[in-house]
Amino acid sequence: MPFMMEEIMKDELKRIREVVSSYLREIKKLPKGSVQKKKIRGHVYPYLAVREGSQVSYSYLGKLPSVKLEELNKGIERRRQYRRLLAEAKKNKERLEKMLYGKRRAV
Amino acid sequence: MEKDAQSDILSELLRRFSQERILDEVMLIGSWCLAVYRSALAGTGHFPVVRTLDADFLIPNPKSLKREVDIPVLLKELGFVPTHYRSSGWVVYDHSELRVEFLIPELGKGSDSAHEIKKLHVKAQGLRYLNLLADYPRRLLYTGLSVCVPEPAAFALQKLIISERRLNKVKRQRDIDTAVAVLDYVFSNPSELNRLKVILRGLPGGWLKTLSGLAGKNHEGLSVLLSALRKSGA
Repeated sequence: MPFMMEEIMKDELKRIREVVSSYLREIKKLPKGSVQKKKIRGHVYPYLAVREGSQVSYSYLGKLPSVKLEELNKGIERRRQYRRLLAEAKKNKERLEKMLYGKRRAV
Repeated sequence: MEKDAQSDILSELLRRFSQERILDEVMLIGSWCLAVYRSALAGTGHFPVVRTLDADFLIPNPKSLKREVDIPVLLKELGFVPTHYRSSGWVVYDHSELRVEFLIPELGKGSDSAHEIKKLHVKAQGLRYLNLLADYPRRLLYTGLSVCVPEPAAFALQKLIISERRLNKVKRQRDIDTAVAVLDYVFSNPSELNRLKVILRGLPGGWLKTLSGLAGKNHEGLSVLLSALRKSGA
């Protein structure tokens, strides 16, 4: 039985490694940052705020149709969801590696 | 990894399938059937708790699907991402807690590449012996939804038959253990035992031969039943 459990865990580790790389691939395809609306002299202008290291850069999105803006927001939201799930997958991967191979020490 | 999280995701997925009215067109197979049996059937102490992270959906009749649903989009909304197997063209959908796979019964000479199910926008893998599950469906209540699963007897027999073809010894033993546990339930329930007899009568000779060999080693009850059926000329 312990051998069987080990085989199941090895299968699961293989799968979770595939999951991590699939999430990383999909995250790369999605837009980064967040849409922020600034009110300047009574008019609302949309900006895309993206963190680059310690700085946050704002780029004006122009007069984007509301459909496009909604699409961008959806993409950003999905990226956040995938990042959260990627973190969970990584945690599961680490846990499995620890269960299978124990704590690995740096040489 | 947490079983509750897995169940929640599967329930949500089934709910979405139900909303899109495709829950009637797919059958939940694989180890998740055991969870459905446990929750829906009486005297379920027989069913093992062990289940894999794969949720396998069988599409019994890919050519007669009634509705068109973009399943990849639906899965994306739930946080699933596609994982491609380039050698076969097969695509599975991964979540941090669960993997969803689509399968179809492989008939005729078969093919190494995945089968495109246009109406559901997915690529399914064709596997042998799945028609045994597709031919004996049963609707059971799971998390408030009517889910199509194979009859326990068909599930157990299919597990036994495929265990013979497994190259991986561990998976083979796991299949046999699961089949024996489900057969114990079938043998303890007269109506299920009748269904087992009906299913056995409809199986091809080669499959029965495989079962006879395995039953002798793993399940005395099934072995006795098979020889009784053979003597009666069924």
